[in-house]
Amino acid sequence: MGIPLDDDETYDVVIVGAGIAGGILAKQLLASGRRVLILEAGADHGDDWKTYRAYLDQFYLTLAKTPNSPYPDLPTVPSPSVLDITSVHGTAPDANGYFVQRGPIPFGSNYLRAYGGTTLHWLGTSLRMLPADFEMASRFGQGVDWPIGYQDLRPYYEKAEWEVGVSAEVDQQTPEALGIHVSRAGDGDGYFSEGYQYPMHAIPNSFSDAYFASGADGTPVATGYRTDFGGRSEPGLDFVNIKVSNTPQGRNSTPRAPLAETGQFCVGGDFVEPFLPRGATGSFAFTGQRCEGNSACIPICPIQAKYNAMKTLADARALAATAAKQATETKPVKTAVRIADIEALFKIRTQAIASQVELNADNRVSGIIYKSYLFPGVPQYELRRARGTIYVLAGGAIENSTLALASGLCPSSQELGRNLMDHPYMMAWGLARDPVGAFRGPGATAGIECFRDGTFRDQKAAFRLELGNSGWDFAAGAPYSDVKRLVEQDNLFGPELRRKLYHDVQRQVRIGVLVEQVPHASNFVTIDPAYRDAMGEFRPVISYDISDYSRAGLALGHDACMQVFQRLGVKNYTTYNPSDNGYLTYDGSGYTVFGAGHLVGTHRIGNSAKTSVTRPDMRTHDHDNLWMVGCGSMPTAATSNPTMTMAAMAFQAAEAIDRAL
Amino acid sequence: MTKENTLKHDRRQLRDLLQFALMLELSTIPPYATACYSIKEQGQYDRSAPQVVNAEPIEVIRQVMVEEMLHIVLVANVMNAIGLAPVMNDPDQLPKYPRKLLGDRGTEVRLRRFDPEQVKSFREIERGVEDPRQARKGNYTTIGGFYLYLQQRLRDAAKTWGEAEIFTGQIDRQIGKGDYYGAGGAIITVFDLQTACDAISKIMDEGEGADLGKGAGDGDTIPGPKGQNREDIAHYFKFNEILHSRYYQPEDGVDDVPSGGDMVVDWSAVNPMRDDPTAADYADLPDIRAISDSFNAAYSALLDGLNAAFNGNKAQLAGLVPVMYQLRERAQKLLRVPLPNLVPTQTAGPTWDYVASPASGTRKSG
Repeated sequence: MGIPLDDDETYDVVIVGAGIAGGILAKQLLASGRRVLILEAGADHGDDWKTYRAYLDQFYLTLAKTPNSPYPDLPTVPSPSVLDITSVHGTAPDANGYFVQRGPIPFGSNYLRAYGGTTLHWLGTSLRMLPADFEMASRFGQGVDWPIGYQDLRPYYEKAEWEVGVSAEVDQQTPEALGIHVSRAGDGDGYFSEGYQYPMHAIPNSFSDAYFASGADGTPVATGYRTDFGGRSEPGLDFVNIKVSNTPQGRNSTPRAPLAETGQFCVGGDFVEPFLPRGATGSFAFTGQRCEGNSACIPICPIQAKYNAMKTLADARALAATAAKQATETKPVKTAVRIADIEALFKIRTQAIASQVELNADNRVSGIIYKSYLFPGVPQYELRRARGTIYVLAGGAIENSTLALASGLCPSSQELGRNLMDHPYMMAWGLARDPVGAFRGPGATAGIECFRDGTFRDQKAAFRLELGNSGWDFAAGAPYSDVKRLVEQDNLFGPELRRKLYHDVQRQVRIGVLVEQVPHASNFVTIDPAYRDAMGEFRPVISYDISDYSRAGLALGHDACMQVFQRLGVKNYTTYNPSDNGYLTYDGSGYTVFGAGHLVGTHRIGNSAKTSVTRPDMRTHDHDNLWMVGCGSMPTAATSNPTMTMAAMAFQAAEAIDRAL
Repeated sequence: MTKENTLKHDRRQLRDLLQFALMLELSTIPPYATACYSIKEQGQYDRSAPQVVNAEPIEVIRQVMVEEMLHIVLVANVMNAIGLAPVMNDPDQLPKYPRKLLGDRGTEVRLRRFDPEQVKSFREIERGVEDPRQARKGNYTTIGGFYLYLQQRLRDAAKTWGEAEIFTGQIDRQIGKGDYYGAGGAIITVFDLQTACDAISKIMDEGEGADLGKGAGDGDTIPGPKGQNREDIAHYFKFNEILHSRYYQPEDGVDDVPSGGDMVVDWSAVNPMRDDPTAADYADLPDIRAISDSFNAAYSALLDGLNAAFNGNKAQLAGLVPVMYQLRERAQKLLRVPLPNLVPTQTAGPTWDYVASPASGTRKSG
């Protein structure tokens, strides 16, 4: 390694990663007058409409529409791809892609290393955790308890929902309304604060959601044996009744008009103006102010009606520009705002791969060495050093871990990189009797949430069921696979092909089962000098398995899907093949799982430096001026998609950092 | 004449003017949409070198178009506030092309492909009012002039009879923010003279500029990053942007050339559509006629839906979104088909004919 050049500017806060966590931190800290630098490994400024259109072109042209397909995968910043996953056999790791997979089950999730982060390809599902999720150890003897509770996080959830712009109705989202039999009475009380409202009205359920609701609502499913009597005369099976519920989504719908006479809303204790939906960035600001149901949420929303972190990052930059302008206006001689003035307050340095976090003798971080590369595809770089007062790693659970491990950070707990979790994602698919309008609307607009909590969680994992709106896309590569089958197998063409294709595809239904994982020290990401990328950076080496606890949840989830299909008369086409990469067995049956893209839990928060990497405010136990923020901070994964929880925690961390400065 | 009769007469005159306004706003949409559809865009990528073709001009015209749609809804709100029933699907009133903008006067409006001449004619449609004083008396040749006259008539009627006599409509017929959002600015619900004048002013501002031709801005806000909401540009200037391949800034004066960023315009990436296509062009071409008929069916469904939405069935509006997508798909299908035996090549195009469906219950005016 050469000698790094020092950056001229020193900032209050240096953040690694321009995704949603980094964006929220930057925006909040700039709002309180702090100076911020973001180092982003990714190569592109997607907020320029030309780059975004280039993403779209790439998406239209690509054959396998995987989550990362629209975005450049460059030797300088490789991202994991779902196409790289193969089964892991014996002791030889699978090193096909960016991840080095040690197995026994390949870790199926991916993320995106680009400006805007993985929010570019997220689905937009914006759920909160449930109170029980914070007490997994004390209630169910599984995993660990969080050092904070639901009520501690509640005001920050509100801020996160207003930052992202979530479309939902409060009265449809309480645990009671979702049909959840909470594991402790009173859990549902005060789930939302008095008078709280989501920023936008719910996105309506799709036609296919209504089809599921009409046929399956009320179906009783046994979750397990009831050990206590629960007020009844004898013990027995515990049932929950299936209920299709609207899913809160981070995409634009109709903004909510205030009821209060002040014309404002109370969000996390602050009074704010009604939400103004923002569409695309740049010249296309007119588009995307409302979801048009383009149905390509994953991997890319063509009109940016779906939230992505570029919107928050643009806010942060606008704050800096406004502050710089105000500074010039107070000067005796009026001068124009220079870009350098703005960048002295806030700079996003893209194409800058954080390579090493340097420590001084007090065990405090003294700088971050990064590799600045000029050309996106060419692995040549200049070594530079960024300096600040406080440093934040916000590059996602995996990248935070590899960077920290490569720098020898946080050694005392030996938990860094461990407790990697995901939501193992299993699908059930079939053909409905009638057309259900597949491939219309956002990827999923409703789910079945009643299995997300309950007394069964000491035996088997909780889960949620996601009702897909786009047929067998993830399950069987529809509609492309159907075209292939009809042309090559059935020799159809012309109008007949179109008719048959429409007939088949319009009846496709698919349910996704997302099951909770609890932390295990043996599920971990580490580094190995034998595996580096083209820039000489460590590739993540992952050991991963799915415990019987989660497999039991998967099995119950599968049963629930089959009962739903039965009620609706859906012809089941689900097959799990032992040659599938994510194939696993439980209790004599086989299932295939994929990753959900929910990478959680490698630097969990906790009160003890012996069992956790970071403190409850996400400051590392070992290094006074280093924070680690993101889904990695979550001690358990719960059943909710983690983005909202992570965003809420980022708001919390921003306050803590501001206090520490 | 008795008092009753003259009130009736004034109301009838207002109805005629507002109904005319409704058709006037509608008449701008087919030419704008046709120009957009004629641009080669989606699904026509060069696989070896994907590139963005005319994405910006399409977006600029689209922005104007959605504001015209807003104007239709605003006019309908004014009519409903006065207790007049807006009619969207009367074949005798619906625009046919080529036509004069204001029926018997004004610039010529045609259905043509995207080219500089057509964009210049769009600019003419949105030209500012030439003499406000004359316009208020009824001597106008521009849309702005017409609205000044309309506004004046409305004020006169309210003054003569009192607002209560004029604004007799049911409030639940108003299309509000919950029904219409995210296309061309905020809707105004109309219930008195002030809100009616606000609605009409908004139509004029978006067309020709916030202070009637002094600057490019139209007073509307485009939501942007915190503290950086931008002011939108009036239509006249948007078309000028395309002609100059450059964006305006809201502060730019009315006679200035645009001073903002560059816009890429490729006049050649356009399907050579036949000018002012009519159903007669496809008389002997059953395949093309079938596509054309399906386009007209979608257009008719749109008009029928709007008619229902403006006359008490507001829920219809949401269902019209997919219909508008159908319009685009079917028009682009037409625009890809060359007409036979023509040199140089001309392609088919949408004719924008209304076909009454048995269920639509078309109402004659009067």
